[in-house]
Amino acid sequence: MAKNPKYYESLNIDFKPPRGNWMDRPVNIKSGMYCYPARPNVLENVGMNDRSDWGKYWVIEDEDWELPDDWKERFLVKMRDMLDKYRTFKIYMDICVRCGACADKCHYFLGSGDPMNMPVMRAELLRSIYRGEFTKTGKMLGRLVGARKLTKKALRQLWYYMFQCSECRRCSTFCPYGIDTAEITIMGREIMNELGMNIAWIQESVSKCIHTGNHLGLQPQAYKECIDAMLYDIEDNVGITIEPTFNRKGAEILFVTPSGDVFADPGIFTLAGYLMLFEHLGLDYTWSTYASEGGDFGYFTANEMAKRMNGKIYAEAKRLGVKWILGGECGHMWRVLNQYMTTWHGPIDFLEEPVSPITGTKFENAKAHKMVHIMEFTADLIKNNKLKLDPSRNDHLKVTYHDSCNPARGMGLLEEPRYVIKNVCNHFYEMPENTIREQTYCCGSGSGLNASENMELRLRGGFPRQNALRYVRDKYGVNMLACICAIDRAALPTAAQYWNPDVGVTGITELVANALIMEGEGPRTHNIRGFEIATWEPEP
Amino acid sequence: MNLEKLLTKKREFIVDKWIHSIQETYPSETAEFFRNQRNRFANPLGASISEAVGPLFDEILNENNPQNMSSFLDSIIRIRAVQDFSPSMAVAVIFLLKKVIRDEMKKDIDHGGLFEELLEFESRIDYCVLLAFDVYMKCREKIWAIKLDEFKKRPYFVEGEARCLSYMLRQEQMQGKKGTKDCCNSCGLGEVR
Repeated sequence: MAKNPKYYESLNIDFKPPRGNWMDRPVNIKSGMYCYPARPNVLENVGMNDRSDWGKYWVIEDEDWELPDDWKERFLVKMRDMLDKYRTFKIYMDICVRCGACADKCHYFLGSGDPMNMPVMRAELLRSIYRGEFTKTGKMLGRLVGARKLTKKALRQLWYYMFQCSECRRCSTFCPYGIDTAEITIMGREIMNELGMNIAWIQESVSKCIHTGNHLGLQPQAYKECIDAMLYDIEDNVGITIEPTFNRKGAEILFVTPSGDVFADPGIFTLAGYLMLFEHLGLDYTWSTYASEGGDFGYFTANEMAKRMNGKIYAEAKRLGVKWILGGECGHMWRVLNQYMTTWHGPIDFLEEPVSPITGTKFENAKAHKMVHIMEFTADLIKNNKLKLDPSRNDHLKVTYHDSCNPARGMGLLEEPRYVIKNVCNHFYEMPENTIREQTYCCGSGSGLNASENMELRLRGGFPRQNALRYVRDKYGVNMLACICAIDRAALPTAAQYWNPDVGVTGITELVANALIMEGEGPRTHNIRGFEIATWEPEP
Repeated sequence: MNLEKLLTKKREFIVDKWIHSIQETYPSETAEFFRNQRNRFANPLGASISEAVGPLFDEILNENNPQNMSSFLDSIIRIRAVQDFSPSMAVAVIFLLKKVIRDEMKKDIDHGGLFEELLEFESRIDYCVLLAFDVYMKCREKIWAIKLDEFKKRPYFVEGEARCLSYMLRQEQMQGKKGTKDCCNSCGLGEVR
């Protein structure tokens, strides 16, 4: 008869995960943690490599991805090419000393507890291949110097984790060498494009942006209809009739905003805010149905695509003959403008240095790219007393501000949004210091990862931000999270549903518009969401 | 001394051990980080575990109130429900308390003849695991509700298969497997690849 175990022996289940060198750990690709692959036709119609020459189906969770015979060669040729072309890439591959300063800064690591999500480890996936395939020491000493060969397993691992980085650059803020880990992700993704390995959420958007101007593929009529729908709402709730112009040649300013604001809740109310603000100022501006996307989806997939998409805005500005461009509440558009745009398309000599027609302020910071952020523009208006505001209309809101990654870290826009919020709201509370400004946490869905099928990754990634939000919610009763990025406005309500169900999300211009006292306005009993101001509560 | 008094006396020690063994369910690099980083905003995951475990232990030991227990369990399980754990491993952390007590208090229990009391206490832990399972399921159902909500919020003018729920669910299940159609295409919106 088998021996009965003692009571203290009966629980010998090992709950610990496997240990050992990270190169030996298995790559378990989990449903809910990746986005669906891009279909060959959407890759093909923007001139990118697709998988049509090596099998139509790509089942991501399968062990065998049925790669073509020459996959390794294609990968390495592209990598060599990029190492030669981009000095930064070469430097980032060479100089990391693995000090670990970035290790615990990534929201995906903090939310998942998966050490492969430490920025240093994610970069190491590519760096190890660089050492093993391109350096002499790596070829000779192998694992001793952290080098490995490019294998099918390495490729799976690389793909999985390159799409678990939202390119928010929080880790880069802490790197003593200033290594831009987001660029490593960008390079990694671009190299894998060579094998047609890209995701639908990015590529569909890229294709539609290139063919119709915005990521949903709204034709000019539909784009105008969406804005018209908001005009009716404004008429109902504010009592003002607005007639904006579209594609008007000779306007002074071209206004460009992410197309998320044109159709998605709650971004659409930010769009209503723009319309009301510009109407109030009597601004000589036009919308464009061609440059109808501020967000540069190409930036998530390849340098050339990013360049093409950014170029559309300037081509349209040239065609319409405007003097300068005003940009809406967008995220990575501002990093692209401030850090890449002039290298791609500069100098922009057909536009003028932006000057506010209302206050006469010269925006010298926008000298190079000729594009002014709506927050800079609004803060300047408030500073010069050009807006009559009644912040008490926002009294039912206790607001906190989420620094959207790219305006904060890619452009340095830290004070203006806060200045504007403080002037239009009476109750403003900051989240803890190490979760805002340059150290802001990502919403968890940036850089093309905002797909519904990717929900678990998004909820993990959103956890550090939501944890800070919960703190101010519990301490001050915060019920509204303000942000200045369209992806934030799409991603944060979803993350909040899971982590903080009673907090709403808004763009700052919506708050401005609600507080704005307009000439000829009717009784302002309802805000622009159509809720009675006195009884309004954020949607659960 | 009875078991309850013994556990009250050794509370800090047991709670620490329990937190430690929950941390150990994560990879070693992560467990080390949990222990070293004390700031609750720089280490939200570690903080939410360590802040909830103590009160949860007190609740199991004293009141055994399901509502209170569920709210502490929420802090531990909500995040595990979206991490790499299998459902069983997500809730197994509660069983770790049994292991801690059996390992650490073996002598006291042997000498004091406290088996019966131990059995009674362990049934409370079992009950707590059932509650943890409820919390886990609530979280998972919420994830699906959120997915559906995102779908429903899609504007009417979105083109093609993105408007067809059956196509999306099919894609979710089949993930493009060979030889299967992605969708019934009865609505005419989906494309058959």
